[in-house]
Amino acid sequence: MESAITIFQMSGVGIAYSFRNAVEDLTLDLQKGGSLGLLGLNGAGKTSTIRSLLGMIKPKRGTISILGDKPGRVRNYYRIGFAPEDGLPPEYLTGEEYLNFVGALKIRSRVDRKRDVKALLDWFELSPKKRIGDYSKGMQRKLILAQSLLGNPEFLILDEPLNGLDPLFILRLRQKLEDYLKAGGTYLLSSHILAEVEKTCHEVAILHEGKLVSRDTVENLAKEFGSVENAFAKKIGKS
Amino acid sequence: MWVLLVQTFRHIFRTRLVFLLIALTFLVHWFGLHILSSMKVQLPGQMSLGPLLKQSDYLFISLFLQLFTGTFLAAVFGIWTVPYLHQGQRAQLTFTLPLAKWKYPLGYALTMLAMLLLLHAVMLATFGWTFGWKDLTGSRVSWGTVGLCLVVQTIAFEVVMFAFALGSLLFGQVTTFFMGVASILCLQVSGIVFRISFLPWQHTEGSGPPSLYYWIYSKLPPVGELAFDLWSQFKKPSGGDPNLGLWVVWLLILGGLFYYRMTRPPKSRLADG
Repeated sequence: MESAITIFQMSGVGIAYSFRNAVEDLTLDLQKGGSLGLLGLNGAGKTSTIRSLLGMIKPKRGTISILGDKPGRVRNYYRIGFAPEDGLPPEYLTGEEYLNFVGALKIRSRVDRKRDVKALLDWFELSPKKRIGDYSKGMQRKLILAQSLLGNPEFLILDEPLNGLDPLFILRLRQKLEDYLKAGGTYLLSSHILAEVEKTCHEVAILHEGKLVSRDTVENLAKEFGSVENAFAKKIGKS
Repeated sequence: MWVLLVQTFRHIFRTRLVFLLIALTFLVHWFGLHILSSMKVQLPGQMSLGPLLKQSDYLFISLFLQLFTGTFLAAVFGIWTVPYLHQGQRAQLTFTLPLAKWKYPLGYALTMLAMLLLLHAVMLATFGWTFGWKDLTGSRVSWGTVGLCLVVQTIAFEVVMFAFALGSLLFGQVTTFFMGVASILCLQVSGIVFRISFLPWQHTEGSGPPSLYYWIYSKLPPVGELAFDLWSQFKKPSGGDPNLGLWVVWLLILGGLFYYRMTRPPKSRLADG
């Protein structure tokens, strides 16, 4: 039997900003082929967790390894796709130019890059020649998601990916994520929309006030609490 | 690296910085040289002594005027263009690009170099157009001296650009603009004050050990010395230290700090949960 490959491993991680602890003693991991939903209220530490995985924040305590390396290594950014919650691509570029810019860094072959950029522009229904500054919020959001998929990343990190997207597109994105998993990808997704996490992730980690209060499969949570929403409310003590 | 250069040039063209730079440089040099070359000593009703300045003086004036256009370029490029990808909501997307962080300062320095070469080309072209190409290529000017002055200016503007870029990343654009202008003004005034002996705490040659003020000033980027350095090269070629070494040291320091800043995104923008 093939042994599981760890995509990331966090052990006893603590993140603090000045006088406030954002994350405390967090131990979390994800195996290849998995899909983990990170749930929590505002300020629960979801974004800090994601940013520490990407090397944007150095934790005060604990260790993190991602794709067998320390966070922040440039060679890992070829293998990771990241869509931040509040990202904004350069407004003076067109959508196509921006994807070409990111693609040029991630994909060596010019032919493959052109093909991938065109495919993503079509799939996300983005106007290739329109300046990003003239894009609507929803289109900017789609562009950020599109750039995260460039270069066939092994690991996708999506921070609140559904913000600003219309319901029909959310259905399509769900399908896209399923296809990505079937193709051997792994993803970590943070969201406020509990029902959506239930539909798109196999496992859920619930963070509350910087601490991991639960980590289980969606199936188990649904069995025990009826739904992920109920589980979330129980675990954070709001029911 | 090539990808970053293309991206930065695209930014410069889209924001029309290049066109603004060419127009400003041409206008400053054209008007400056025309006004000065038309000045004559005229004794009322008697005689005219013709132009006051020699051709080499005009070339120095061109280099002097270049201090304004170069500083303008360093400020605009440093405050607005360089930090653009690394500020606010763009910072996270840029930080996670598979591009080594040392390539950012190098890429911006090369882009600035390309624009400074353009600036120098416009300056020389305006000079040639004003006085004739024969004068420009004639042997009356030491091209070695002009070359050295252009090298000093180029490195100085790179230093100023990095200082503005770092300031913009740390304190924001508006604050950096005013702080930068004030700093340049202070350094230039200090440069003049240290050369004109009228203040008790200043240092002049042969007046004993240097004061603390002068010691600090002499370690800072020699912004206040730049015009004097250029002039001393013109007056006495191959003589006088144009502070090239100090400029290079500051270029390495500020380039290094910029690289360090690239490896660490600001926590204040991340502390939201």
